[in-house]
Amino acid sequence: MKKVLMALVLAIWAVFLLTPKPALTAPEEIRIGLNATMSGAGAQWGIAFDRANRGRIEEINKEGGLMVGGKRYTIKYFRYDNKADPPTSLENAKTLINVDKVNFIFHHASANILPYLPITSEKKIISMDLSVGSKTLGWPYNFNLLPAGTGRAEQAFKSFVKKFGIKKVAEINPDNESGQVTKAEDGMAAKQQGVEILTSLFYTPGTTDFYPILTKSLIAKPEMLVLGVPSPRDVALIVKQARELGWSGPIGGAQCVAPPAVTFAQIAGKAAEGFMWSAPYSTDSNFWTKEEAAWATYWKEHWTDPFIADSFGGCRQIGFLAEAIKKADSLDPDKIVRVLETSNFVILGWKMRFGVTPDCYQGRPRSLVSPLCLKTIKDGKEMVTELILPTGVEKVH
Amino acid sequence: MGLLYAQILVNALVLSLTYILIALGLTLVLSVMDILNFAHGAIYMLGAYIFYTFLMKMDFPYFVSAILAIVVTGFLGVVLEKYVLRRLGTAHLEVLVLTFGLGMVLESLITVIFSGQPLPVTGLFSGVITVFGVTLSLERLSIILVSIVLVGALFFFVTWTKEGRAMRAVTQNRVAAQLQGIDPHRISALCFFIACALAAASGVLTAPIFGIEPTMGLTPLLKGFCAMILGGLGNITGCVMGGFILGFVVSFGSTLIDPTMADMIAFALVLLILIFRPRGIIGHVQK
Repeated sequence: MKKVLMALVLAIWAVFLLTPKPALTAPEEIRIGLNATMSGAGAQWGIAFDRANRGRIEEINKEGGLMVGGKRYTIKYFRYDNKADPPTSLENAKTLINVDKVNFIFHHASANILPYLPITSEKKIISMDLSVGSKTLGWPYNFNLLPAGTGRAEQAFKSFVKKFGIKKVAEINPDNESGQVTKAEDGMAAKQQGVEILTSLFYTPGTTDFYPILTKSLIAKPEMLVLGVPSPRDVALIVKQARELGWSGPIGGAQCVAPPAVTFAQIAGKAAEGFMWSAPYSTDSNFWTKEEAAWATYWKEHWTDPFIADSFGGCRQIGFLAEAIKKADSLDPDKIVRVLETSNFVILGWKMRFGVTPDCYQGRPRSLVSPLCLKTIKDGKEMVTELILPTGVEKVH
Repeated sequence: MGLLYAQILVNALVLSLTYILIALGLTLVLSVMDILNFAHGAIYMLGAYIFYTFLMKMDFPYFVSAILAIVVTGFLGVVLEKYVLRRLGTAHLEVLVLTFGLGMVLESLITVIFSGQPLPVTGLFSGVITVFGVTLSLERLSIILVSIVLVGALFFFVTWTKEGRAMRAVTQNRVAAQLQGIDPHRISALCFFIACALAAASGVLTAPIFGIEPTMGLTPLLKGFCAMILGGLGNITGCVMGGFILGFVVSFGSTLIDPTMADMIAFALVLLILIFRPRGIIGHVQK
């Protein structure tokens, strides 16, 4: 009898252990996690996204949260620094999923995302991705908010050819997943514009002395130095050191992001002048919508360091998700995905959508069709030289 | 072609001297205290941040900020040695783990205080000089000149001063040195002060050129260890030689072969030394 009872207790306990538990979320809570680089050379991105996420979530919660299916949900936010290290990023993701029980994840940098996309896809956790590189696009629940890839590089090389009439360039990339993918994409984009990439070199992430790689790049006698996807700090150091080595030709970014103009000037001094690059947003207030201007004001009120345009990306992450949840009126991931794939959105005053057809240069599934700013540094300030609006994208406010 | 090699040589010189300043601190601590200090990279980073605080936040003059950063970091090293490391005595494994953990703590502390963002540091010099077609920024020239002075000063100290001779005595035989009236604890404290000051000096020199960020100590620590292993553990002259070899391999390898291959070649060299000549190029066989 004792044995039977013992067996019964053990069986009940086993059933209890093996049965999936409901999420620890309170019924009125939506949990969002950020897994980003908040230290090191790429800290500009993670810090910008984090501040945007926190700021916008605070506003949403102040207004009472999100109304979904007749219920009010507040947003609980978790954030982890992956230090631009894929194993750390994977551990962060597991913590977000298994311990924090998040419903959604915000992240960036394909090298840090790819290790756990199979997990989030299996668990139907929708993620908003701000990474360069097309390898993250194959995953059904991951939405990329950067107009990256050959489209962005194509516009960059087009502008380089138009302005400088170049035919031969030397490219530099970090030796990681993003760098490897960017090399391939920039290669295709350059070829389309009739530009030959003489050398495409990689440096170990963490490098700060770029003299050796620059010396090697300049031996090939390019007409222009192109930076694929180094982090903002690396961009400033490379530009500075290239000028120190005597390079007087043009320098531009294919898919990289420069640091804020003030920081760029502090690091590189006058060497920053004339640097050209492309991005989906800018610190040039002449091109802001009313909502973007309001966010920039919020930044200035809350933080003393220079405004980082990448924070608009963070605003877009939470903006698209909140809007999609409202439109779906559900927290069902498949319903939200359908809304994201098929709807037009007005986020930060821009009407945008996710690409589902190849009818524009950014028409890749689950990749945002967004404005693209071609920019340069002039007189120590960031200036938009051209604003490209793909089909269906417009400034609403 | 000659111009190219001359440029690579100058690049190599700057790289080498940066590695040597870090490696010297590691070597000193290892030879006098028999400790592998894994927090050394973090101390290099701490020195740079203290310099940044004095210069950029408190608006102290450049040279005052630099000297204060070096001295303050040195004294922090003395506190660390006296109140933390000395208690563990000769428990090598525990000290190793402790210094590793200390490095992580320092990195996290700096991240909390300053954030993880890379921070620019205003330099004293700007502009470049070109000599026979070879370009060198004035900032890098300052690294070369100051590093040579520091290395020379260390050699002089260790060879010709009473304290330096005491340090060598403790390195050779701690007990015998004690019997001669030398206080090994005082020598250890002095050694740690010098090691931390050297690391801080390196941080102060490189901060205006590369900026600062909390993880900036990892690569120099690794390269410092490699230089130390190449030259011979606990051997100052070997350390300098190892630093030059490493710097030249990385610089020539990066430019003539490939930047990522250069690091691989450098580490492969360290592996070969460990396998075939573990005492290093000019290290001595331990009895």
